[in-house]
Amino acid sequence: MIESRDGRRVVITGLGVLAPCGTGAEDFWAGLRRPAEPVVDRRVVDFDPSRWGISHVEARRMDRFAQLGLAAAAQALADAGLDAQDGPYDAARCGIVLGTGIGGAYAWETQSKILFEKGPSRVSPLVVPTVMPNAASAMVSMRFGWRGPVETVVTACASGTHAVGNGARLVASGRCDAVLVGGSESCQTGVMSNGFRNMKALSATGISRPFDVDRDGFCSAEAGGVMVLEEASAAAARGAIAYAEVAGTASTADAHHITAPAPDGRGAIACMRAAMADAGLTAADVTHVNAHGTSTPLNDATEAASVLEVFGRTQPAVTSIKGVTGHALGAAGAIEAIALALSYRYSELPPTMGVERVDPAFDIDVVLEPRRWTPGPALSNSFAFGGHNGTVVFLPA
Amino acid sequence: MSQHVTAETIRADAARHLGIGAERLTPGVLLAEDLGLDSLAGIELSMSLEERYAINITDDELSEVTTFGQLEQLVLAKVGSR
Repeated sequence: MIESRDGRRVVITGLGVLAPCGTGAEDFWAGLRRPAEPVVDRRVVDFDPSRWGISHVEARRMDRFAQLGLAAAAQALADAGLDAQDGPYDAARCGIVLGTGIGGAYAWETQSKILFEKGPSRVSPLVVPTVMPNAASAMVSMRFGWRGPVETVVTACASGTHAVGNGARLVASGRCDAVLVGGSESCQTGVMSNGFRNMKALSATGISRPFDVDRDGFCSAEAGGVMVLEEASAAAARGAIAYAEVAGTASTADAHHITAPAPDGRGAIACMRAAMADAGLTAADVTHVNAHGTSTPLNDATEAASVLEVFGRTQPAVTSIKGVTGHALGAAGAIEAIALALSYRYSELPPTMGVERVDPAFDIDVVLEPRRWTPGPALSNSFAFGGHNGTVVFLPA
Repeated sequence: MSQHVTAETIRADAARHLGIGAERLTPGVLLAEDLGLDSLAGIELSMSLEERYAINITDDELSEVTTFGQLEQLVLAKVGSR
């Protein structure tokens, strides 16, 4: 990473994930190969906050997105074997960067109803700390006592990827020894779901099929995904096993339209190129792209054209896990980074599920079946409403 | 409210709201020190009882409350004077 001080490298040492296709890294990884039911609204059905140490009173002052974020963080620290309070690192040098697109959507909606039906005096005194998008990173900080930079990134569907990138920079620059990065989202309220539906972003068939010729929109999802990032030599010194290295990252904007990607893909192309430059790589080095691949007509067309423009004939293998997971908005980049970390662990690329026929207009190598993979440089992309683009570059650890 | 309101019904409602066993809500139990309720959680508990019993507890009245017994008595007095 360009700002890396004294050659500091950043490695992923712990994963925590709650997604519609599975809870915990192993279950999630297995779920990426199971065909999803045709449901436009995908939930973490077995989520039990008490399993993650969230008490009844605590749960009432956390919207579901914050609960999912806290649960994923607890899981990631356990997976890393890192004792947050009594570990090797100074808590003032440990940071948290989590993304979310919306924040506490359920509290907004229920408290609005209470305001209109019961009057101003019945509005919960907890509504402000419950709806605020930074609630998840704040609750994680309080739970684990980490007191370095604790921040929330809000860039719609790129939030998770930007959070991973921004957190990695904190470690590379020497500001932090360890960071929790990722994102969480749960906003399938009546207002939000119908807003997405009425803008024709959602699939009418309930089938998420990234890059398919018949793709008709995304399937909305909730999820929490958090990774532990540490400075590589400190992680090795405490005996941690790294999944992969975060070697570079970039963030760009289209400056084009509030929801549509720039048709020439300029923002996406610039983002992938800047991320590779940050990692000191060229396009020919990259063997895999974990795509944004939402299953919307516009995103997939622009992304396919941008990947072709950036990589030309070297044709990295392209996977979108959204065929199974659906689109978890601000958590999407986080759970996709986790899928990519697991691809390094298992030397395998998960398939792009739900696809019957890749759009013949796309000249890219879409992974349709689980594929053996020799771990090499890979990208994870996110492209968001607002024209925000994010890319993170991974290397074998 | 047609049903008879007693200390027991208030205790049961408060226990349900807090997600704890009613036996912990003794008259002398301290809301902050013993139950770990911060000021926001205290306001939330009193709002839940206000709604349940159709009463109004002012901020000044609530600021005098430190034990569960005091809250119980306050609610009973409000219900009685309704």
